[in-house]
Amino acid sequence: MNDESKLKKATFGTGLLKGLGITMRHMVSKAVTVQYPDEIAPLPPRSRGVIALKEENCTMCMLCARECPDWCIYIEGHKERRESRGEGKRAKAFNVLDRFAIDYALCMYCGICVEVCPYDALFWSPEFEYAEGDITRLTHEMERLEDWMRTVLPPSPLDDGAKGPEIKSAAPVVPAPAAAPAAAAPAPVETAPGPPPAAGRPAGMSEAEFVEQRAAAGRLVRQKVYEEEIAKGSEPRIAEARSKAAEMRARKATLPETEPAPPVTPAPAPSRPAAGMSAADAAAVRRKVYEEEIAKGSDPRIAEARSKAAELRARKGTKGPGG
Amino acid sequence: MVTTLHHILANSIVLLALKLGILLLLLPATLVVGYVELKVMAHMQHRLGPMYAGAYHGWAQTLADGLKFIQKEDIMAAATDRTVFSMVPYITMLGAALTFVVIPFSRHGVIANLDIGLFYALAVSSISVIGVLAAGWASANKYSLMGGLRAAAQLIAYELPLVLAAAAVAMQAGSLSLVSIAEAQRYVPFALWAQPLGFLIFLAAATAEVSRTPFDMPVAEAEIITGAFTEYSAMKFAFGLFAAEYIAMIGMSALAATLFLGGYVPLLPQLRFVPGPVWFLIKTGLLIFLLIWIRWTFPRLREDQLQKFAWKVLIPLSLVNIFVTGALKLAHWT
Ligand code: SF4
Ligand code: SF4
Repeated sequence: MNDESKLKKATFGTGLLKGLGITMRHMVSKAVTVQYPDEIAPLPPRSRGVIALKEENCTMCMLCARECPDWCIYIEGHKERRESRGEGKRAKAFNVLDRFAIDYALCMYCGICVEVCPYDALFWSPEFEYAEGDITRLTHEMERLEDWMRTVLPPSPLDDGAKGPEIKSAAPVVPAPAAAPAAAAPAPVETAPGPPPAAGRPAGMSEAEFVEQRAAAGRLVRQKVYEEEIAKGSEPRIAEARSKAAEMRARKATLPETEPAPPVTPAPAPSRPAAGMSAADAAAVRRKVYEEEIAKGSDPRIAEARSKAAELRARKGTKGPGG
Repeated sequence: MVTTLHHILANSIVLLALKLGILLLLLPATLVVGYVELKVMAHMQHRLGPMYAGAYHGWAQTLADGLKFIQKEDIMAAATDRTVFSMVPYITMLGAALTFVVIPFSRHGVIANLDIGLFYALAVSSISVIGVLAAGWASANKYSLMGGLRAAAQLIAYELPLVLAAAAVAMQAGSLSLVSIAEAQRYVPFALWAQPLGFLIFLAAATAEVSRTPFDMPVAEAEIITGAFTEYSAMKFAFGLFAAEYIAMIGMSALAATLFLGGYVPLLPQLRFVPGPVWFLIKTGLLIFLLIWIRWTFPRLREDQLQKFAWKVLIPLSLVNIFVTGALKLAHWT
C-alpha cells in the first residue's frame, strides 16, 4: 500500500533512470583505490599505526593495562629498595620494569592506553607495516615497543598564546655526554624573555637527534653499571635491574622534567628558520631537512617525519611569541 | 550433379567446423564477460577491480579464477543424490548454450536457420530451470531447496512475459525464423519502431530469466547463499553456476539483440560496409553492458514484489502489446 502510493507520486521510471545515471557517473570518474604495496597512500602524519613505549617514563602504575578493554598489555616488574642516602633521608622503594608487552593481535587501536598514561610513556606512531606470518610475533616486547619511539613525531607546537609547561629545573643545563661535540656549534644563545628556554637541548641540534643522543648516553651508563654488577658477582637479574635504575637516574639528572621539550621557545638554532616564514619557505626547509636526513642515512620514513616536524616549527615561528 | 554434391559437402564440413567453433568460443566469451563485469562493477564503486593477474589491468583474473576452481576439491555431502547432483552443471550449461544454435551472426552465419528458430530458442532457454530445480533437490540442503523453488517460481513467472514479448515480435516480422526477423528490421530496429514496449518487457523478463539483480532472489547470496548451488564446489560450481549464468546472459543478450535491435543488420544503410558479425557483437555487447549496469545499480526485489511485478505488470502489459501490435498490423500502420 505504502510503496504503491509512493510510486504514484514520482513519474514512473524516473527513479530508475536517475539510479542508472548515478552509477554511470561514478563509473567514468576516477577510482580512489591506492594499489598498496606499489603505492602508499599519503597518511596523515599522526595516524595511529602502532604504540611506542618510552620506557624511562613508565612508572609501572598499571593504569594502561587496567584500562585496556582487550587486556592486551602485559606488565611485569619488581620493587627495589634504595637505602637511605644519609642522615635524615628516607629509604625509598621504587618500581623496576621487567616486562612491558602489547599484543597487537588483540589490540583494537582504541588508544585508551595512550590517553590514560599519566606519565607520557605511551605514544602513537604512524608505522603500520608490522604484519607477521606468526601470530605470536605480534606481541611486541619492550625492546620493540621502545624501538618504535624513533618514529614518533615530536609534539605539535602550542597554539597561539598558550603557555608551555612549567619547567622547574633551574639547575645549569648539563648536556648529555655524547652531545658535547654538537654543543660546540657556534650558536649565540639568546633567551627569549617569555617562556623558559628549552633546557638540555644544545642549539643546532634537532629534537629527534637530541632524544637519540640522550638515549645513547643512558645506554652507556646502563651497560657500565651492569658490567660492574656482574663483576661484583650479583645475580644477572639484579644487575639488570640496577643498571636500568642507574640509567634512569642518569637520564633524570641530565634532563629537564618534560621531555621531549616542546618546541615552544624560539630556540635560536641556526637551522631554525627566521620568524615570518612563508609557506613556500617552510616547504623549502622541509626539503632541506629531508635531504640532510637521507644523506645521514636515515630511513626515508623517519626523514619524512623529521622534515615535516621541521616545517611545522618553521611555520609556527611566524606566529610564536618571538615574531 | 557430382560436383554440386562435392561442393555442398566441402562447404558443410567447413561450415560445421565454423559452427562448432562458435560453440567452443562460448567458454572464453564467459571469461571475457566475467572480466568486464568485474571491472565495470569495480569502477561503479570507485575501485579499480583486478589489477594483478596477467600483469595488464588484471586481464587474466577470470582465467585464474577458472583454473583455481579446477584445482579445488570437489566436495559432495553424504546425503546428496550423487547422479542428479553431478548432472546439473551439464544441464544448466547445455540449456544456456543451445540458444546459440539458431542465433544468426550474419545473414548466413547461423548454425541452423530453423523456421521456428524463435520458438526453439525460448524452449531450450528454459531447460536450465530443470537443472536449477534438480540442484536444489539433489543437494539435500534447505537453502538449496529454497533457492531451487524460488528459481522455479521465478523462471516460470517470467517465462510468460518473455514469450509474449517475443510473440509480438514474431507477429511484427511475420516469421519465427530469427534470420527473417533480423531481416525485417533492415535499417529500423524494432526497439525504436513498433516494439519499444516489447523491448523493455523482454529486457526485464530476460534479466529475471538469467537470475540477475534486481531479480536474483533465487541466488541471493545474503540470505540463501547462492540458492540451489550452496552445496556445489570446484568445477561443478564454476560450470553449473558461473559459466552457465554468463552463457545464459550472453545468449539472452544475443537473442534480444536479434529480436529488437536487428542483430547483424546494420543500423544505417550508409554503414553497410561494416560486416554483420561486427554489428551483432556490438549490439550484443551493448545489451550485456546494460545488464551489468542494471545489476550494479538496483537492489534486489523481494519475492512477493517479484511475483507481483511479473503477474500484475509485465504479463498484462505484454498482452496489451500483442493486442496493439495486431491492431496496427491489421490497419497496415506498421
Ligand atoms: S590501543 Fe586500546 S586495545 Fe590497544 S593496547 Fe591500548 S588500550 Fe589496549
Ligand atoms: S599508564 Fe603509562 S606509566 Fe602507567 S604502566 Fe602504563 S605506560 Fe607505564
